[in-house]
Amino acid sequence: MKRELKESLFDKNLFVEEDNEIRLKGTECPHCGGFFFPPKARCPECLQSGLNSVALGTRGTLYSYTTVYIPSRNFKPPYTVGYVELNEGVRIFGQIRTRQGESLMIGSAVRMVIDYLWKRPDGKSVSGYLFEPVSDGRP
Amino acid sequence: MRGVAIIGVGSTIFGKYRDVSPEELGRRAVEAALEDSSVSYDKVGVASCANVYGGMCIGQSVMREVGITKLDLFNVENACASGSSAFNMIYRIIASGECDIGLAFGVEKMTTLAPAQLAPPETDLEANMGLLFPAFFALIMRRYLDRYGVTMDQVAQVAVKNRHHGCLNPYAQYKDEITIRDVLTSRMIADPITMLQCCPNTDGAAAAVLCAADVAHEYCSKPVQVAASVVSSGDYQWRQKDITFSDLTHRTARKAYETAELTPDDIDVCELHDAFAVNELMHYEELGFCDVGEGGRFVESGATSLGGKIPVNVSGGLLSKGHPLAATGVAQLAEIVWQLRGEAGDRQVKGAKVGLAHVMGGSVTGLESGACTVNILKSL
Repeated sequence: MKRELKESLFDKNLFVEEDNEIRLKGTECPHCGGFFFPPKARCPECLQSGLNSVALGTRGTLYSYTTVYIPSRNFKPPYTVGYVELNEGVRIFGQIRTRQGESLMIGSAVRMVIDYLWKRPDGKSVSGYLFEPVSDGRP
Repeated sequence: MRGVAIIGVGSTIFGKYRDVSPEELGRRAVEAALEDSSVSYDKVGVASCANVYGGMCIGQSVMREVGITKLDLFNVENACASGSSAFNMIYRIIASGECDIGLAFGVEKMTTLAPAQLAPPETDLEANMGLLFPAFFALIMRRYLDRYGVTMDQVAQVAVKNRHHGCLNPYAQYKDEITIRDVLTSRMIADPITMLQCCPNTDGAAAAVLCAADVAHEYCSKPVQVAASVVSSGDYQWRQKDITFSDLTHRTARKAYETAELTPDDIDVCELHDAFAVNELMHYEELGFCDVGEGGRFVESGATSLGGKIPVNVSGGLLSKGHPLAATGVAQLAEIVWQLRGEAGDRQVKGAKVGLAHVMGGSVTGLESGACTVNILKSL
């Protein structure tokens, strides 16, 4: 299962394997300490090069969210998307998966999960990152 | 740099023209603007055509129909700000002294050439993850409402106001009044954005003839001076910051006010980028018409309605006049020109002497917005 998920990632440059888990690959600027995703060659804050590649953590909080009722390229409505602020301080846009009856709020604790996201026209499943609320409430 | 004036404008009526080609829409607007200016075709030295979805060399196709060839001609794409960017380019060329008379036009055939749901490019990360424009602005709107206590009624009031203005504009796509209840009960698109908070799918074209200010009176009895024309791209880290305030609009407007030696209090009439109703409230704040967080109360007070302190989107705006992407920026300038000449009919802002037009648009991962333009026009 994990190997199949890894092989169907939609863009391998965005992911890195650490402790046998697939994690988001970010960059950290050694000059200003900022974290960035997607990975950058040059720091967009202080414009220095020589950024370090890092595996980003999986926990964060919901910065904003919306449920969309019109189709997008890869998703049929309704689906929920949002900006999640990871604990490193980097804000990432992605799909938000909720279970029935689970409600979202600005500030809800969420975690990053690797799973299948959409099917390509040739029927192959594409995997990537999404976020889901965590019941323990721990950011 | 020398002064530049607008000596003629023209626009098609905005709407759905499934059976009309983009070059025909463009021809109608360009000919109307040239006729308005009384400039003969052989005097046009440079032209710039704005378009997003028409494909290669659409400016040449339009000029073929108009009958002007062998011209310094450019095609410009800057998403929603394409038209005003094409205008800015011609402004710079004439201001530099390289050319005396130029033409800026925008043409867009949304109904048949644009995708059903507007999104960033196919290779874009956020687009692949499900970011459509209504979703992006819904994310911003949720934070904005949460932070400042702006109400849904106040957001809906923007759509109601602009629809009322559109009813007075023969160029507008929609001409039936709506209520706050209509706006809030219309189909949900991206929670909390409903259908009537979104600009529609529109075809249209608009054109402007620019010339050196010192010879403007030879071609036009009421030339309008370009007091400032500013274009800027967005910040690549903005989506990591406070998304309830567009620093891009604020920064671009500040530069325009400085160039024109004017303040927000001097603006008599404004056309701004109301792609979604909530955008208008935020842009009031960024353009300096009211304090940060006060946009909701400002629209509710009637200040931005026709007859108010600073009427905004008296044309109907993108919400009711319609939004053919690349035509919008030029059409806004046409509206301001008509207002400053006192030719705006039922939607005329009495005694308008100074007008401001603002557009922003375009999305790629991380970027606040592709481009923003602020143009300030003054009666000469």
